Amino acid sequence: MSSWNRPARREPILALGIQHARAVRKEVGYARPTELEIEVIAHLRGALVRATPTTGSRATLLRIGDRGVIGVAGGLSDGERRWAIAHELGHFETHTNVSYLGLCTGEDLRTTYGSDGREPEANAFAAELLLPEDLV
Amino acid sequence: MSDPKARKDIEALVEALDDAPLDEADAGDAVKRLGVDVKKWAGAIRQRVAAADESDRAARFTEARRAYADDAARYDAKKSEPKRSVEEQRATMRTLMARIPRESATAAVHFHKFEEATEEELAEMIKALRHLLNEDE
Repeated sequence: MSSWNRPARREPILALGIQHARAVRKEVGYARPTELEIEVIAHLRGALVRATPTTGSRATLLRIGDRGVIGVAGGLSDGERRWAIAHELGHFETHTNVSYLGLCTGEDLRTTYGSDGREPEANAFAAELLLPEDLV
Repeated sequence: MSDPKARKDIEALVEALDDAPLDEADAGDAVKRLGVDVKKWAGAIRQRVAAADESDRAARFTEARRAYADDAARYDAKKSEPKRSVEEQRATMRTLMARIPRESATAAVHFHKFEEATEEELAEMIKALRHLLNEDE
């Protein structure tokens, strides 16, 4: 099952993640990222965030079409939790050509540029969503 | 603008301006004669617009929070998957995934570390999958 239409590996395009994060901010219509909870932003985009038991991952994403469920591990700090959700939302927004049923590990979230190019893109999305360049 | 005469005067002025728009010099002269503090006036208008935007945004965000809370409650109210072995749950996952419409562009699916998923993780994934497939078993 794991090899069923697995997306091909490719070099990351960080601008893709950044561009999608900016589009989300514009469409949701908040000025500062702290104005609205990350769970609510995700829900507005079609992804429901729920706590999930995980061992090797911080967050999971199940996606079918334009709906998804983001499972986030317990025991994370507020910052880690926000980042993990934003990262999965990055996959949800940026990689719409594939339907993800993924478990992202802590290693993925720390950005391993040598791995699937989509992980760094999701990180770029999360960074721009949580800390927009124009507010830095 | 409760004074009917003032309202009529302004309507007449607006109508006249439609036919013969003021140039900047005329407008400046009129403002000076009327004693209007343009900067203050513009600031007040901007404040009013910003307050309306803020109010609209706050209402939208309140509604969004409510919708999220409702959806989360519905999800949490779904019964948990029965305790089953990893193999049985993987079989259930396959069955459910086979129901994802393959003709759509969203039929491609992949896992990271799926092979290492525990019973609890699989049970939660199945619950989420059922939710996305609108199945309530």
